[in-house]
Amino acid sequence: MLNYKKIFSLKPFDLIQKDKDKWYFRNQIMLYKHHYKKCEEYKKISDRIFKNINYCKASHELPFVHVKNFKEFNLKSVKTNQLSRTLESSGTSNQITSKINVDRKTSLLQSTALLKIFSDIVKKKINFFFADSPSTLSRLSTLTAKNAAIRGFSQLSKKSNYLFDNKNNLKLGELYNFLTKNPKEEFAIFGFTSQIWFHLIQQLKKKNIFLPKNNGILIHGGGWKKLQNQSVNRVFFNKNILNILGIKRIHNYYGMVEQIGSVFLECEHGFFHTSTFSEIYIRDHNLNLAPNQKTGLIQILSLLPLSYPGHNILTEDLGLIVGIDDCKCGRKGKYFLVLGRVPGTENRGCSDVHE
Amino acid sequence: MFMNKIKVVLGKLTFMSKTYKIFEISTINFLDEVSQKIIKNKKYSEYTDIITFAFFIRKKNLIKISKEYKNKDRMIGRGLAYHITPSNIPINFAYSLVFGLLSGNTNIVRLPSKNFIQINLLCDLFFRILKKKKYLELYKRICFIKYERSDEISSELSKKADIRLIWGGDETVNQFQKYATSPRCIDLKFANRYSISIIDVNKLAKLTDNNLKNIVNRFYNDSYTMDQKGCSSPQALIWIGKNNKKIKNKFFNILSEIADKKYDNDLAVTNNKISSLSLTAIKSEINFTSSHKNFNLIRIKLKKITKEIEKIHPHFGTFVEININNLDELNKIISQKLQTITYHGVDKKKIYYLVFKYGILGVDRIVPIGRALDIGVEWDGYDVIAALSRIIGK
Repeated sequence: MLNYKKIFSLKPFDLIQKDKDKWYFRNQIMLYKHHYKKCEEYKKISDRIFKNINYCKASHELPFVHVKNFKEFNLKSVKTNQLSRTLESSGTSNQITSKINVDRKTSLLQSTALLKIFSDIVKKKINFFFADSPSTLSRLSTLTAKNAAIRGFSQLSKKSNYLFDNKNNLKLGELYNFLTKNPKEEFAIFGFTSQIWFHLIQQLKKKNIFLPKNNGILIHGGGWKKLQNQSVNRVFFNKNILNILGIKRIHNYYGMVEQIGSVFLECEHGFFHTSTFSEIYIRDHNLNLAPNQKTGLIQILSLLPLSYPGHNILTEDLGLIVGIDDCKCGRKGKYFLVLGRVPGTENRGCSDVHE
Repeated sequence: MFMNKIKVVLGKLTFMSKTYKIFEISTINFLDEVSQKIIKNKKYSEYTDIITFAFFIRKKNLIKISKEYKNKDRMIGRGLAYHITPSNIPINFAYSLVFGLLSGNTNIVRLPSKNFIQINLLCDLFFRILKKKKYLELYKRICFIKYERSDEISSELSKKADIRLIWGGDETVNQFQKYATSPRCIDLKFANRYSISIIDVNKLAKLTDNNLKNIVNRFYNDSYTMDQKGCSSPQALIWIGKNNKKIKNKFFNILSEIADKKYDNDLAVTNNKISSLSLTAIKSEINFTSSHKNFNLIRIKLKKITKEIEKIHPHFGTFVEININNLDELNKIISQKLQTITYHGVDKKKIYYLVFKYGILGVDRIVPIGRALDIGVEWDGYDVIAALSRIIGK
């Protein structure tokens, strides 16, 4: 099995790509063998549509699972009684959600990795303000990606606070209190990108509230789709946030419910970064690796998932690799941009239902 | 009131249930006029489906078809035909209408909710010609409607129908079976189907390069058009004769080259293709291996010859290959679901003979490679004109 002690001992953004590749491949092969043995569906994918593992020389040749497969099947690599919970993606209405089976070990790995990645920007325990209501966390049986993130971040926080009450009304008392008492202390606000924009910012705007200049940082993730529909881009988003929340920095991250923990952190130059836990490939229309700067389908790898085959996933997101090892922020490895969803093709054919 | 929720695109929604003789002359004249307008006007030329349709409805062709009906002077429509067309094939509604008209019926055609250019073009053209005085009576027999999915509307229209043409596959058929119809109402149900292609390897090997390219090009049109999702698009390639790897590879190399040039292989298609291939890999109960040089063409090989092959159809240019030594072995793979067999180098009569010999439930159509998608009055096992009309006995 993988030596997680070793993995967690590494600094998440310090490995240069050349040093990372072989090491990462060795770990991915171990994960491959584990899931191949334990997950019947993954074995079928591997046997039926990928080349023999013995011919694979690098991580990008290993069999991946298409992200849709998590919606179509209940994929797991442990026995059901070992699972601690099932996560569901926060799919919009009438979408089928992904089912992600997490056991204690995977869950622990995920929150440890999240901690590790964010300790790069949050150096010590600070106060966290979640742009959510406390009741979100109390729903225990099926958890969403958001829940898992809040849980992860709670471990980074000195004190967890919520910016909404259980009826989803804005509740700024605690934040005001904190800002009055400790105007110079660092703190973090966390929320899903769409929630930050459509709930927090819009409500503040409506009430004409501007927070005083402070030492806060905003951490947000979950995708831009809803915002893009209203032509809100990163620049506009950030400008508004800085202006209204008075904070000093904003960190977006790219990740998905299928790979909680090993998220890709956005640096101060606006690029997402791989960490020691993760890897990214961009695939062209022939599923070959696309050269840097060329847009293609995003494939993401993670060393964390043990209870389900989420270690190697082809997503339906489009992106491009900007460069390797040379981002101005100083982080090593690949850095990239996410450009949205691949457009759905028209469904054609006789057997398609009349609407 | 359900009528308010229906958008009438062409004609009037009168629920008239009058019948006419089959192949009645004003219908043929009208269709021929439509055909000529399409063929003469360049604006239609980029839509190959419209052009194919135009050739189908030429007077010459329709008269030829009508001659097959020896009793046509005693045949008449059944009344009001309600057409439920599939949402994804733009031109299907036009063929459905032509079937309804030629068989002497009055027609209510539910159009796909999506705005296909082809549909708008044809509706405009139909309207321009139908408003001529000479088509006054014919115009009453055509009504195009649109409505959002609604049990109420579909069930009301079903009550009034004398015939229903239910396109759109299993799900639509099952849905419409829930609505009550009059006891004499006849349904033409177009369920999910599966199609294959049979090629004699030895005959293929003997072709000149040009003729081989020609065959592969036809095969390309049969399969890659509509992302290989048409019910008559071949999903499997049955090789008959001695296993000749060289000629098979040559066939697929040419096919892949054509696809490279013609097939709109963008990231969306790639995404759908790999996702559907993974889905098939997980779901399939029989083992297979797949390989590709270029992702636009995937070859799937099976160890066993079984009817289960009908479940392996990832589309977008993916072909199941099976080798057989003689036609009799086909009996092992043909199920009730099999619609079209396209062939090259095989005697079509021998396939007919096979169907009769074993009393096979499938096989509704046997045509040469290149004609898989040519819809006609003999379709899906129906003689559509006969099925949609009555014969007055003597």
